[in-house]
Amino acid sequence: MTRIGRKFCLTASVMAVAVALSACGGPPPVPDTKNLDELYQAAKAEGEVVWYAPKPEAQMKPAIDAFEKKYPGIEVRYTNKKAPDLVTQLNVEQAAERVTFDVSNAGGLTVLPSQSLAAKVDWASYEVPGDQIFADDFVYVWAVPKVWAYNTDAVAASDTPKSWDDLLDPRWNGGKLSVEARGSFMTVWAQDPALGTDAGLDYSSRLAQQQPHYTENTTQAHTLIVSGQTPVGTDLINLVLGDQAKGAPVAVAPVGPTNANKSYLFVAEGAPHPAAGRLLTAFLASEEGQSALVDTYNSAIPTNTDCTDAATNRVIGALCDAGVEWFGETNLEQYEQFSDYFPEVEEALGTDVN
Amino acid sequence: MQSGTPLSTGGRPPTGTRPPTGTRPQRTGVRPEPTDVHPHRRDRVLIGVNIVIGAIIAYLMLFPLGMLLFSSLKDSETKLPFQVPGFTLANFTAIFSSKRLVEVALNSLIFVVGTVGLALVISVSLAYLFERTDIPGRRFLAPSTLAPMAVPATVMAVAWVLAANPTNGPIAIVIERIFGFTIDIYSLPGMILVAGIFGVPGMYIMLAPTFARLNLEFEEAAATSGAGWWTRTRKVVLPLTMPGITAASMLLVVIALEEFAIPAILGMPDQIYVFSSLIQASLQPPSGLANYGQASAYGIMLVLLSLVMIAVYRRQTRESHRFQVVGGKGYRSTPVRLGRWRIPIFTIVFLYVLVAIIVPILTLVWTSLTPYLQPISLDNLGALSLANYTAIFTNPSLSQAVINTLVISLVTATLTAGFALWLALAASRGGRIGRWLFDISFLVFAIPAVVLGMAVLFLYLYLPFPIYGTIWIIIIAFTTRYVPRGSRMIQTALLQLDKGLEEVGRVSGASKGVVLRRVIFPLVAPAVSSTWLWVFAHSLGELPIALLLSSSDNRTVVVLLWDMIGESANYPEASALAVLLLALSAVSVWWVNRRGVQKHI
Repeated sequence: MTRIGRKFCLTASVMAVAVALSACGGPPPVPDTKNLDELYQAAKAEGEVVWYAPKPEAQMKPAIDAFEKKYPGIEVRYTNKKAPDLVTQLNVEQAAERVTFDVSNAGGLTVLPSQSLAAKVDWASYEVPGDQIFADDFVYVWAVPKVWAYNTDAVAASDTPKSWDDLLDPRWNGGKLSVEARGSFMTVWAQDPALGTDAGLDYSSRLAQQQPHYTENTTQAHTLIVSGQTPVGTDLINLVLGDQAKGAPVAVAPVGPTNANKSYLFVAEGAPHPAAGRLLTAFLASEEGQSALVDTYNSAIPTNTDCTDAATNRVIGALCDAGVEWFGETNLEQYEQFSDYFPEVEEALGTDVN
Repeated sequence: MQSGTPLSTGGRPPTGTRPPTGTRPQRTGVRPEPTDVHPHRRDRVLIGVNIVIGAIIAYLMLFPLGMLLFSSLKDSETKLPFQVPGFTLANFTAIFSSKRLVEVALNSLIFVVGTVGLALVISVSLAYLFERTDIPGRRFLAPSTLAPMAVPATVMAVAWVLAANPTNGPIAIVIERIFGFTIDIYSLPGMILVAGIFGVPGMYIMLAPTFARLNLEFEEAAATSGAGWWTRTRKVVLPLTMPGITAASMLLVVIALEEFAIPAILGMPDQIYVFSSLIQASLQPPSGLANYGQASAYGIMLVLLSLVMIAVYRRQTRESHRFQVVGGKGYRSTPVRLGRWRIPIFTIVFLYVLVAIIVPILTLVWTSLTPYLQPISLDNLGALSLANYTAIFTNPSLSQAVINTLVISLVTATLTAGFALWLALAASRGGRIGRWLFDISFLVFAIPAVVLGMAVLFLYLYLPFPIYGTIWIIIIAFTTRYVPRGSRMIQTALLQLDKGLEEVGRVSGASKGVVLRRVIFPLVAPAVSSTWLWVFAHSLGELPIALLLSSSDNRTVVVLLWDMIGESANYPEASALAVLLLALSAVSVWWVNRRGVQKHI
């Protein structure tokens, strides 16, 4: 055999061994723990937890720091990923039996496809409040209410729209409303019994006649309001509050009711660190975890409130100050309804592409 | 590599080639048979290397194409393609029965033709002026046109919106005051303008080496026959550079069809939907699970369009000897004197660079200094600060992201330049297999970025290599994406080389390896370095694939940037990061160009 041939064979052999070694092993066993203390010991043995969610890391940092302080020996590795990519990636990884992250996120349209991806967990045994457990395996951790916002330099408080019907006034015609093209701001019409989906579709058609300035998502609609390009538009409460804190001329318009889109965490089936994943999720649902999240406007908010808790939660405070009532999702059937409703909303708005 | 062309006569071999050592001409004048056996072994090694590289490139190209075809025939609205049994044409049926088909097709046609046309006019003009004339300020103007390459399209689109929106954009306000009419950036012409300008750096970097090589003697011969400047340009310069122009146009057609940030931000307000809107809608449908089957079906349509373009390109370059301008005879590349037009042309070019490049960059810089997104105004000067830069530099994730980004960009650029060079050589001198591989690679370029990313993700999840979740999976995906483009950039340079140069080298006794190393490589070095630079800059700012394949271990700077704008609309901090990317891109452009893209031999 020539020298080159011997080198080739040696390299191929080393690679084959490496490949064989890397292919060994399967998902770790589900922890047999009955309470938080046992869970913590099991999680500490795992040493880390990998968490993916569609949120900037800066917003999750206070909660991550609080968790690592309370549970030393467990490192949180966080990555911001788009919601549809999360579902797809977890789906693919589970099919290949190579799940790489522990805690995932489901909200809005990703709730239904995420159901089959979640591990079965007895959350009550880990002290998760009953009203935060959804569909058995999901844990409600934060909500982001949608709002109508306005630029306070362009619109006086007395001139802001004060109802959904006010938005149809001719003075908001011709690009003065920045509106998210997917129509998620119309969710509340499917939730409030006083409104209804048929009325919502009719409203969407009339809103389209206002020739709003459509944007691909609510974040872009917010940028137009803050920069003064459009005086009024669809927005998210956490974006409004975040920029208000920096001195931006933006405020919540008293247009209600609205939807507070709930977001859930779940432990992925086949997670590489199942105990740590359960511990982190339970922590974020706890009072301590919620206290850390509330500072970045990402916490669970009750839908039934008399606004006495407004002082402790800026999101509730802003909604109460604006006099805006909100609705959250209550069961899986609502998400099934959204799957049919949203394409019709897009069609009514004239933004249906496919 | 076989040349396949007859030996050219009357040529002088380029300097630097010597007959192999160990031989000495006999007094009788008859060259002795070489006694050294090493050339045969070197040829075998070269063949072996060629086979390995060819196999790697085939593997990189064929798998995504196969995955694209497979996925397009699966109804994957609620499941992943490989979870669905059987095959179906439902995705294609849905596309052709869409009520928006005609509208989208028409908008896309206007958008693509407009974008490519505008970018072509500008980049051909700039390439000619910077590489062929004595225009003043070239050392500043030429790199300036390339500077924004590393900035993601989303960020540049927002910068343009801030600069030119009809409500409070300074460009729009100035135009209204001076000329009395309002420009609307949120329109099809607005989309064409921004996308065209965005496409100029990529086209320019392909065309500049092509124009740099033109032999002035061809134009002088035409001038001697009485042809004016316009006739010489039309009948001599443009035909000789047509392969480069065609290749650059083909690439920009695919890019324009796939580009969604600019149509989404500038077209969505008035519901102007184009082809990329359809792709994006299939990736974020109401079901919540991305419909890769439908996205793949759109990708198949792009691939079919690419087949047409390949056929056109092949027909055009069939008689490659017509484009050879670098031969064994001495040639010179002396700049064309602009004379009294020097200053007016400089002024026009400077205005273009100012409006198209500098103003959006200044808008980015402005935004990076503001606490929240606010219009450019003297009233807001007091709010400016370096707080966003402080936040960036104190971000604990930044240092690892910078390291990841630099490693990914450097390795991708180097691998891509190497593979692209090999592919270009294979296409022009490697026979049928080489040409086939070259054409296949362009089909891969037509695959939408996210669909390509998914194909790579699928593959390395199932292959038991420890690549998934590391920077290497991103490097592989980027290399796959950029090799087609790089090979075309280099091939246009190869088409300009007289094959007689190689023949002379071989007749002198040089082996194929020596001919490659001492004849071909030095002559295509400018194109290779341009390719390296383009890939490096684009790897810095590539978002869709990096985001899809990101994990906690391989995050790049642009993924951090997405972290800021994706869900929090923190454009000021994102702009600060974009300015850093821009600085990195500008430094690399300067470093590569300090030796001069233009080579006067």
